[in-house]
Amino acid sequence: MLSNLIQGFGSILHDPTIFLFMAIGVVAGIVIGALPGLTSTMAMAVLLPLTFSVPSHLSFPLLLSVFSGAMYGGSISAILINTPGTPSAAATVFDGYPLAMKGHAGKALATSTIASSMGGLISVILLSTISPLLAKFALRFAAPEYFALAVFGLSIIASISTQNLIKGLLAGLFGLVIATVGMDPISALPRFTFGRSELLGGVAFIPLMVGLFAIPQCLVEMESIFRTDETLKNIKSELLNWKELLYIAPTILKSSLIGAFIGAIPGAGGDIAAFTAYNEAKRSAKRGEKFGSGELKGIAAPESANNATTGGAMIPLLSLAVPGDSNTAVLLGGLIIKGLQPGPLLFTKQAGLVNTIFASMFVANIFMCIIGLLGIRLFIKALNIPKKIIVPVVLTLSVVGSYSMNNSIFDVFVTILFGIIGYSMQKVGIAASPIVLAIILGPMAENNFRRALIMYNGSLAFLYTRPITIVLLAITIFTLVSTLIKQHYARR
Amino acid sequence: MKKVSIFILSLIVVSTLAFAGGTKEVKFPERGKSITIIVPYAPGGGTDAVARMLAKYAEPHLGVPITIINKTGGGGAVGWAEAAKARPDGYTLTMFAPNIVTYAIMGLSDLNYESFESVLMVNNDPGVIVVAKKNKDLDVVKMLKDPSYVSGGENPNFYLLAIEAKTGVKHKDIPYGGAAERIPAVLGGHVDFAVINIGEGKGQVDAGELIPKAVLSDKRIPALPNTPTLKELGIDAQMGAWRGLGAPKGTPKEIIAILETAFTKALNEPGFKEAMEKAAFTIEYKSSGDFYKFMKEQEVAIKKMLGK
Repeated sequence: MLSNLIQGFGSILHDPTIFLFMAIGVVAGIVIGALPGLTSTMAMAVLLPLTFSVPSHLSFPLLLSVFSGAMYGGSISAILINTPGTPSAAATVFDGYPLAMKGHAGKALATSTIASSMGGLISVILLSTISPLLAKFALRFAAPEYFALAVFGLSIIASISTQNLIKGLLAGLFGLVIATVGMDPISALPRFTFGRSELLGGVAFIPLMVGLFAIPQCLVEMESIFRTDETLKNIKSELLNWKELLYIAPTILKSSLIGAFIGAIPGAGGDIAAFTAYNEAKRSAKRGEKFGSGELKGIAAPESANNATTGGAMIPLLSLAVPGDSNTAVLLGGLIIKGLQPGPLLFTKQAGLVNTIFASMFVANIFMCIIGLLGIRLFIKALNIPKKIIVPVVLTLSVVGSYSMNNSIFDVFVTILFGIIGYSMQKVGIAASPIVLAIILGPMAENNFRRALIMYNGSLAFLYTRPITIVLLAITIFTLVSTLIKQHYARR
Repeated sequence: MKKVSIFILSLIVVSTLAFAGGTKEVKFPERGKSITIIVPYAPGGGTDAVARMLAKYAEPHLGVPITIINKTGGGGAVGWAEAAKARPDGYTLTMFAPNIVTYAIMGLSDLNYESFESVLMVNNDPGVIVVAKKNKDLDVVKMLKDPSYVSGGENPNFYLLAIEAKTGVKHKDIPYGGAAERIPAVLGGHVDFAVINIGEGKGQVDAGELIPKAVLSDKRIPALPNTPTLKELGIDAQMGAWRGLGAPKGTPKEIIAILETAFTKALNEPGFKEAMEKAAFTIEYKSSGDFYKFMKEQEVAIKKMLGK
């Protein structure tokens, strides 16, 4: 099956304009990903009408380049301004920002660039080799398995709340409460919507994210906005050396596998993958690795995992015609507009296009690595921009971003409300990331728990009779216990 | 003085002309303006795809550009609320989908099709009952009359309710988020059958992984000429996902007529037909009046199903 990839290279070499389209796509993706509130889904949706007029061997590489670039771009703002550009970069903040504050922004960005591209490349290789196998495995996930996966994801809250477990759990509970807003997916009754149709689909996620991360960060910066010389003094622009590369390599490999695997499961995307990979890297940490205060592995893990979901999410899209996440849902639309029906036959009937997709994803990740590494010196300059300039710019972009997601002024108010909540939380030392995890995973846990109950006529037998569910729940218990023991000893 | 009298004279001439022109000669659409279609669903979905194809083929007939704006949320209610508030001058339209009827009945929205003028119905994708490959030889009528078979649906599942209204047999229905979740549930053997639209599962149907057993329509559909309708099999249940165009309440009749004519022409373009067929959407044209009647019938049927 690797021959598909090679044939794909042959076909994209025929038309060099593809490379131009892809370079533009990667750069646009990085910029969009880096801006809080603008996401790859939105960018791809804007570009979707292009698939009408531009031939598919050009339009799909462009869309895929934007997809990959944005997944990486989110880490730049996470590292430099403590604000994840996309939900998938929320876990990159933990170690990326502290490392940048120590003056090693160059190292942090280089790690995220290399990890992102490697994650992407590994996932493309998996996509072009074992995609039918992974697709088959993904089909074995029914409601009980999804429920167990969500519970496992929620258990990560414990391990990312090392400072204060109670505050972490509080934030997680708050997130779960927010996640109940909207139409109850099982009985189709509105919950806590106060008669607003904007809330029927739940609190819009991107505006909420922008409110929880970007706005509080701006407010905190504003407290010292007129104190001059607040910018970092000695920013070293050195990148990674070979020793450090070798040091993060195993983490990248492991996290990429986690990412590709999670991406292949429909409904689980880059955000869940990034948190899971971070959790695993932290769990398997050796003595002396300080996660949470600028550990390179803490950047490499989430960044390689979230980019590995790009290839992973393509697996159910191409082989099952089921989008793995919101980005691939847009791609599905593009395929349908072109009259190309994804599914098992796509590989034989449209082998040319499939090969082009594989090859262009591969090349997009290489472009991303080159452009990213070349751009680091430029990105770092953001740290030298005076706060009086950068704070208003980020605030404006945040509002524009949250409006443009659904073209809705209601969403802007969501951003402002959660901005105030986020700022107050920061003041009392409650982290925002457990809320993000809970909002992503809460509905997944609830819906699938209720679905499983219907499947089993109200019995809880699904918790202990299904192999995958048992394994997932066992991992959850193992993670929780080992984290608690570690925290216990760490406190002594 | 002279200037003023000329001015007054020209005013009189212009106003008489304007009144004389009252023989209902509406100039629509005016050159330089553009028509906006508010799609209440996300780009990439079925409604969005139909709207974009329609816009492409209607532009030459209207002579002005048509822009698609996606305003998502609330199962369509957010976009429709926006469209209902727009100026009723024909320059803002919206795409209708079944929720414009059902949401008001379910108490999820204050607006329904009566809050708009209907322009025309464009397509209607009837439900298709699909099973996994391993159940290829299952007798569909037997399956629908045996309550032990589990359906993968949603709540409320109007397809299943329409079938159950005819058979009187209740199936266990596991609610999923949409076809993207229902299809894997059938493929993975987690449910026995599901009702989908053919466009959502064509890839799997062509590959022989999903087997279409029956169509919930009056006539067989072009995409599945060998699949019988449920009506042929003795259960006359019909239900589909339909789409059409609507305009804000109060849009002048003449403008609706111009729009209807132009979009009807688009519907008959060979290019449009081909694009719809490729994407496995079934074209079903209904005029402005028939479309309204159709939605009224849907409303009655659904109220009955939900016992309201």
